[in-house]
Amino acid sequence: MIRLQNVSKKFKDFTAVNDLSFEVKQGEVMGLLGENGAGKTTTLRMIATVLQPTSGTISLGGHDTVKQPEQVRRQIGILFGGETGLYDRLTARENIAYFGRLYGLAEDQIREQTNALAKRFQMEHFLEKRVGGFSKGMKQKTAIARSLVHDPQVILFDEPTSGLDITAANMIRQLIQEFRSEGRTVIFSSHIMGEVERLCDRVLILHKGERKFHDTLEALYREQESRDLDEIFMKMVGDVR
Amino acid sequence: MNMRHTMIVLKKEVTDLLRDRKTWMTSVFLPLLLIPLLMMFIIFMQSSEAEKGRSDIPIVLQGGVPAVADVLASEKAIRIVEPADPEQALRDGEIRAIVKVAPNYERRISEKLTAEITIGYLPSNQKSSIAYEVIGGLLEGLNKSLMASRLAEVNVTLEQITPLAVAPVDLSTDSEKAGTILGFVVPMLLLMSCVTGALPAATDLMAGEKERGTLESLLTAPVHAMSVLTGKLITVSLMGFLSAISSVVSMLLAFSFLPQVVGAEAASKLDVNLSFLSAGNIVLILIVLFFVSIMFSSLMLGVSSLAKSFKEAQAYLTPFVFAALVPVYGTMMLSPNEIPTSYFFVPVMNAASMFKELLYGIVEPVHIAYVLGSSAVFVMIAVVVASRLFRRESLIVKG
Repeated sequence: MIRLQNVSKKFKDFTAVNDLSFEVKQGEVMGLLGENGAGKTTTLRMIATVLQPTSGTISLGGHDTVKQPEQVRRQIGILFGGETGLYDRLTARENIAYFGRLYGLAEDQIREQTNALAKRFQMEHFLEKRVGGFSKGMKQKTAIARSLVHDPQVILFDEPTSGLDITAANMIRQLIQEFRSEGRTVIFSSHIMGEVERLCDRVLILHKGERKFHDTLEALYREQESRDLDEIFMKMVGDVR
Repeated sequence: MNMRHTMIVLKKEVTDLLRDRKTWMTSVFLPLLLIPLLMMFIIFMQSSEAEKGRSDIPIVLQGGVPAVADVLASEKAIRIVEPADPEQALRDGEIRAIVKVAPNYERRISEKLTAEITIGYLPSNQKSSIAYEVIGGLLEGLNKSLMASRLAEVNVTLEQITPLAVAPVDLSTDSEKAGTILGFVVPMLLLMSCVTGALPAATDLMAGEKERGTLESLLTAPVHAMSVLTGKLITVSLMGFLSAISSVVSMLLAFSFLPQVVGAEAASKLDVNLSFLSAGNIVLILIVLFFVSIMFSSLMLGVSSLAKSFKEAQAYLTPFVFAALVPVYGTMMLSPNEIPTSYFFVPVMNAASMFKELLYGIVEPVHIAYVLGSSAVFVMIAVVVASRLFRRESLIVKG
């Protein structure tokens, strides 16, 4: 579904991602692990077509991210970082509908999808209210609904649980499990080892823009002869400290 | 670029802005209210101060002789006072002028010589200047009557020693009179409002969206970046244009209600005449303002995209106000028939020059063609600059 081949990304003198290759199969949930500045967000942004690789190619569902960015974008839903990226002066419904329109959905399709998503995330009571007054959890739900309005087959979540309380974070984790059962492909980056262990089929460990490991967790445990993911992670990337 | 996407972005941005009271206040309602109030306040203050300056003129008369004192007393407004320190009193505003008659006045006059009278006043003080004018006029009258009586003694009339009567006559037409005041104020207000009206929107739609993280979500939608930029550009330009229109309307309102508010006499001093406002001129002014709005909006959106935060964008965009003001000052001292042809090819200055000509009742098709043509070129350049700036990856990557 997603294939990166020898992808590098440079910002002036700084190499954010170096010669990265990996593949994510359809319906797979892949965890992206790495410290701050390891290249996780840059990798996700390149897959999302927001950034172009300096070298190498990325394809998603058979489409090249540089040559056919719009076809790629149609297939992905994105939630980046702690910022929910919503318009405060629009209502939750208007925020969702705005993206629905940009994705080319018809008005009645948008209405149906929005109502279904509002029901799924229990946001009916604030759907018609302006986002400005929302709690972080309400904003998060609205942002998720917005990123799913076009029913994407690939979901890219960048640290989706950062800054959320336990209930909201659990909702996201449950959602990722639902995505898997629905056959959607998910890549999500995280700092929290517990959720990576619970949710991921495979993990990709990045360190200073380079791939340190890419396989199933079981393979990682076998290779490192330990089942403590924290310890393994520190051993693999903590050498600089 | 996809027009449907542009319309979606435009519709959303307009809805968003319509709900932003802050932007409306600064872009539309503030000029609508502030300009008439400001103009009325200035005229009111001026006329009431001038009124006060003429209705009561306290002065000091030193070495007063009956002839001079009588002449001064003939003006009801003049009140002779005797403060301890006249110069200090003048500086403190207690008196308006110090009239000093030379001690040898009576002797010099009787000997048919010249006697000296000085009027001490403060030219920087409007009321003191008025006092100087009034006293000067009275003493000139005294001078003339003394002169006439001296001439009568030698059988000569005043007319005989005044071979020429030179008098200035104001030949300006109504439109030209309007131009004297409006020629500077109108271009300044119109061009400045293109910037001040667009500024909040340019800040919010680019730097604000970047800061809130919405821009990244927007650019991951299957929409060409240029459609997004065009939608935003139309919105920002509309705000600038709307603000300019609001300034025009408020100015017209101010002028039409001025006589009722400050009195017909005070208003007539402005020489205001709106005869330049023909339908054709208004359309021309609007077209040029439209170009100027798009040009400023493109550049401001581009610059706003360089900023990392809302606040930074505000700091970057403030100089645009001066960019609108300086060219207007450049044409301020020129009379409309002296404007060099090159001015019609300089951004913003071309608009200011054309507005000035129109206000003075000059419709010069060649100049209008220069202005429209050069403005269209500037718009294209500005749009290209904005689109270049909008394509950068650093738009998304912070730091």
